[in-house]
Amino acid sequence: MSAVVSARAGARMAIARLQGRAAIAVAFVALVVPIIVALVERREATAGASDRALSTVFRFVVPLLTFSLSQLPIGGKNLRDAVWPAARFGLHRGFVALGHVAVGGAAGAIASLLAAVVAVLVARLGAPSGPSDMTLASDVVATIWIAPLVAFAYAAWFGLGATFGRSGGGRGYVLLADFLVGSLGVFGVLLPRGSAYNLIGLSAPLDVPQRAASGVLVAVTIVCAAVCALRCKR
Amino acid sequence: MTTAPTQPGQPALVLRDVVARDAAGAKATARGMLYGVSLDLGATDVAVVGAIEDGTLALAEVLVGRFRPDRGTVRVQGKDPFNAVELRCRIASIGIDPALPLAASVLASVDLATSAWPSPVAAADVLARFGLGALGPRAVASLTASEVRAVEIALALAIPDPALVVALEPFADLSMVPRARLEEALAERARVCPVVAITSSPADAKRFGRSVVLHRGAFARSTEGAHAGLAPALDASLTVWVSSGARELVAALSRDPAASSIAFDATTNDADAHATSGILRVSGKDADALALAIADATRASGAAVTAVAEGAPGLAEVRAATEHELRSRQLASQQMRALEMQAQAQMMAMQRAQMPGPYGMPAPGAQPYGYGGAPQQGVPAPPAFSPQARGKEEPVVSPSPGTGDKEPPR
Repeated sequence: MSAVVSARAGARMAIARLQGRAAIAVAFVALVVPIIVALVERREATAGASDRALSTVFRFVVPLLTFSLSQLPIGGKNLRDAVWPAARFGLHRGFVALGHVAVGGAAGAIASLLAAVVAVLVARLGAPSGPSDMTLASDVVATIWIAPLVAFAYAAWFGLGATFGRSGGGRGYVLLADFLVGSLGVFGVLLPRGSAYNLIGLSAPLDVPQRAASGVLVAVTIVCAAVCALRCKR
Repeated sequence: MTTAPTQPGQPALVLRDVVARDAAGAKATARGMLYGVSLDLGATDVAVVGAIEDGTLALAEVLVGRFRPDRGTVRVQGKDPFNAVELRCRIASIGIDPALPLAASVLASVDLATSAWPSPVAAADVLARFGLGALGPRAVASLTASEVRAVEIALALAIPDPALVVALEPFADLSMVPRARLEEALAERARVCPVVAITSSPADAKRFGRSVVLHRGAFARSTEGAHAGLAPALDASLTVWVSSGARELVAALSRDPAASSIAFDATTNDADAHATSGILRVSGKDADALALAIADATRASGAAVTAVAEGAPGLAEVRAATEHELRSRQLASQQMRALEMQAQAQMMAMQRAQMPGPYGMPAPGAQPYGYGGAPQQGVPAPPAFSPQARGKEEPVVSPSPGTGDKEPPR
């Protein structure tokens, strides 16, 4: 009961912080950048334009969007400090933090889904398909579940990162590590980038099967969120 | 949610050798620290007087469970406030930097804060108790600092069955909450649980039954009642706010022997002396005589007095007094140690005197009998051989006086 109340309180706090202009700006970026990317790729070559656009979206747009939307509820603080205004009234620190991470993840998931679907639609609608292209419907359906899954994994990692450093600077290092080594070897399995590439049909780190990649993402999300909650509790 | 009652005879708040630091300095470094602080407190109120550099913030933060102490234990009703969630919802805290949970409105924020309380309290009721109902629909971000503090005070004092009240600078920035109402509420809480008011204002500390001075991270001294004990016994001091006729009042007061010193700070310096307003700080030996003198001088001068308040020592004076007391204690302890060492040395010298040295010679520093030394008047010469003292050893004959040039027999 206390856990549910605390997580709900954390979520309410996070939602309140997301109801600002910054969140609207992020949503705008989530809409505009994929359109530009898709148009550029489509102009380059219509065949495989959606794959290339999706690749760019998962390379840059999804991590940065989720980073921004995960940071907004926490502010420029360590996650432990961000949950204190609720924890001081008897709410459980760890579960309040989980509420924050969940809302950051949900916001990131919606924005990523929007970005990915827009990219696919703009790249594919009205353009002739290449011989190796999937159908538009298959592309959209795949995007619908991959984008939120990846976004939640990122949010959990950023939440965990936010428990390090006096102003939660650890999340910045997570983002940097993801950009630098996120698709290489073991890091590719642990960090969301590698699994995301695997799921959208790019490189597979450590030759993890595509089907297992989604399981890996779910497991990484759960473990990161749990460690994040434990670190906030201590 | 059940709460563990305090064991009979067990203090509700126990601190044992607590070493803690705050994170209020630049780059989250410590600004103040506690060095091995211990405290036992039952249902009473106590004011902890000190600055953040003395560790007041660190104390508040470990008491409310924000941080775990680096060393030592903090127990409130036998539980650690850092870990025990069910305890934390019974700790009322008024912080120096008020922070409400961010929500869509103040009412939603209060609702969120009260959601973990053991018995539900309607958010609107919490605000209404302090006449803050109008703040309810507003956004938390739109509140001024004093409004946030007022909501925080209302929340802190609405907690049902409190285990501890920790108020950091309780009477600062009270534009929304009447001071008397807050004093009354704190006094009421002090009947059921410990109330720890942490302040840098000795005048505020006066409102509490007991004051403890936190000096350089340790509890240096404790006083009961008014702040007279917090600083050296100064003259009574009264501050008088005068809206007109201040100069004439000063002149009238200067003729009264009850006032030994008058400091006048003019706020307006009109050409017309009677229109001058300002603040007077009047000191004298006796507070009652001083008050009477002010009343007489006001009547005689026709000045318009707006307010009179009792002066209180500043934190600097309290710190100086504490430093002085600590030095005195240190000096006394050094003197005591020196006396003890002196007594110990004398005792050892006496013991050595009673113990024969090798070949029956007196030990160094012993009374000079033996070689050339004549027995002192009234002091009997020790026996040359004492079988009781030497046991089964070979008897040793002490050389008799006047035979210093001879070898003792072997």
